[in-house]
Amino acid sequence: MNFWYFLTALTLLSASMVILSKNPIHSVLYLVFTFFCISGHYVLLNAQFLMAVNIVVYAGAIMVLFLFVIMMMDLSKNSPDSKSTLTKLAGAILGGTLLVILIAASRKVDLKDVKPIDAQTGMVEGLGQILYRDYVLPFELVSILFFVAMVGAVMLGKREAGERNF
Amino acid sequence: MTKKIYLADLLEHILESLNIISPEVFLGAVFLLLIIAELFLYKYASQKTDLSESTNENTYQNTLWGITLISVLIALNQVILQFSNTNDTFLFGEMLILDSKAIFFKALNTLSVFFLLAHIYVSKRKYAGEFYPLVISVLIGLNLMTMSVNLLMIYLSIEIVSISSYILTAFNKTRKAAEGGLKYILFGAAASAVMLYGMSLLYGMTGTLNIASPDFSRGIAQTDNIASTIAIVLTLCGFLFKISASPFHIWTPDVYQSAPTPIVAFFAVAPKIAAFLVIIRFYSAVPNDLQVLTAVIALASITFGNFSALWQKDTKRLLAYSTIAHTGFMLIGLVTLSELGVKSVVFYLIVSLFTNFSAFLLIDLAANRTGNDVPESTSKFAIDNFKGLGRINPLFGILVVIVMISLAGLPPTAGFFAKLNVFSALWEAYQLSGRQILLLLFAFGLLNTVISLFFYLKIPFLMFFKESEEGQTFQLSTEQLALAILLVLPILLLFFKADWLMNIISQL
Repeated sequence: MNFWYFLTALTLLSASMVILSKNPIHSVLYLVFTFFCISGHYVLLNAQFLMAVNIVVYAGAIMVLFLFVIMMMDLSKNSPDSKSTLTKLAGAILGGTLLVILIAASRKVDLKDVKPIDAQTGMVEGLGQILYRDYVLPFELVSILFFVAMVGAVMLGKREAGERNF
Repeated sequence: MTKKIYLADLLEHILESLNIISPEVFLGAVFLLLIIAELFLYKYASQKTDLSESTNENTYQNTLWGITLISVLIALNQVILQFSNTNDTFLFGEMLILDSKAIFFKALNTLSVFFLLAHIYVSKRKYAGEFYPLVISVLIGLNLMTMSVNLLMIYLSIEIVSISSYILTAFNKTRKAAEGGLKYILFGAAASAVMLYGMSLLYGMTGTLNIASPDFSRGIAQTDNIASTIAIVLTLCGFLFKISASPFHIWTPDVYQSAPTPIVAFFAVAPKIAAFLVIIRFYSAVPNDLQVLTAVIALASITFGNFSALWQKDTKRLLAYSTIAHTGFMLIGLVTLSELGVKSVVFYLIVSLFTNFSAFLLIDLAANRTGNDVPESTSKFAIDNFKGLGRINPLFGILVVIVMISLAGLPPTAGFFAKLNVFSALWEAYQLSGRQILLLLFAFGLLNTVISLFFYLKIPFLMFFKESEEGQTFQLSTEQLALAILLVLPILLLFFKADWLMNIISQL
């Protein structure tokens, strides 16, 4: 339990550093660190497979790609703040209200009757059983979803001859 | 040994379910076929043979359009055939449900894709080949949305619709289209993220994703009211985004202005039809009292939509705000939480299918007429471009008047009965519960109907009472006129035979 508190504090700290740090590259690195912390939470929740996937896909592939893009775009120069004080204040009040509501709601949830889970729950075998048995239709539909997204990305990204580049 | 028998049963169930969702499986195959056909035809069309270049290009367009049209008609036929066996069946282990409501809404979705294709045909638009597979994938998503009773399936089908919609919005590849598409994807991604968060909270409270199961309602009822309401509201965010209800309406005018007009007409109709069925299913599953919440959202949508529409100078933006207001009116039907309310929503949806498609078709034809040359900086759809068109082409003027009157909700059009049903359901609900907010909603809704007259009648006013510029001509081709009349006729027909449609709806 103590380790859980330590990990949670670390996650929250690095997540807020993502927003607070001025340098976008630092933000991305903090985000990668946040993903590692979340993977640690997955291990504590007995979801080892999810942990591995999270590190490989998010921390590994997506965030490194993100880092490259930011480095290429050279955003490290501090651009002047475009938001007015009023906008910032309104945003802070709205976000704060939402936070208070969510905390108040989550305190009300009764979690006494949580059943202890089976040790095999988060393993690849159990996941595969569920994925190919109960959730076979969503699993197949995801392929349509990804295919649509790929077709769209290629179509929108491809520049035809003589087309304007903005 | 027992495990093996279980597996055989499961496989049999999956095969049986696959057989039942044959329209969607068929559309999935068409989706792949269109992408492959596009690859081969593109090469054929881009062969430069000096003389026949344009004919090659035309065959390319017509073939893809034709394949799409035929397969949509086949799918429509398959859906209609499903009406004959209306036993409510759960498919894929309670992932989907096929009841008469789902079949009816699937038929409406397919019909709206048919109108979309007809609109493309009469306005002689040319699209890159990826357009047609994307339209098919939207239809797959919409059909699955109408059948989903599992939160995961609801999320996934909404996402299929959304991703295809983002791409279709940015399809023209102009700067404006890119802006609209980017706004759409940012708001859409945020809305789905919030919806997923709400769904995960609901899963934590109930231990099931299946909204049709009694465990789901029981689990929510056992949780504290505040906590469960927040989870439900978060989940609703995603649905409300899809029907562009306030406060999730901000994307609507920009997207409608930048997307190709046939697609805009489709967006104004089909995703709303499917999303409303999802909302109806969700409302009947949760035990919480959502009456006040829905009333506030409906009130906000009507007010925002109508008052913003008053200042619009662009017809597409005007119609965008008008669809937001219409969403508000449809939500009134859900406020009542009664049988009559749900029926009135379905009626309203069908009426809005015809009115929105005809409204967008008519303004599109007028904006793209020959001789409507506007400078780069201004829009073809500016309201001033419609000056005097009714005098030049009276038949067109009359069609526009009918559509606008129907949007405003006056007799003798179907829009009148749509609003009447919704308001009578609301009045009944007020007399049952006696809540002040319902009376407020009733009064404010009626007031807004009057306000909406100002901007709806602005276009016919300009068309008949203002002089057009010198030397303007405006002729509709035969097929354009035929489609416009085909879309406007049901609006009149449903006024005189409203009970006929109500009878069909009450059998669902």
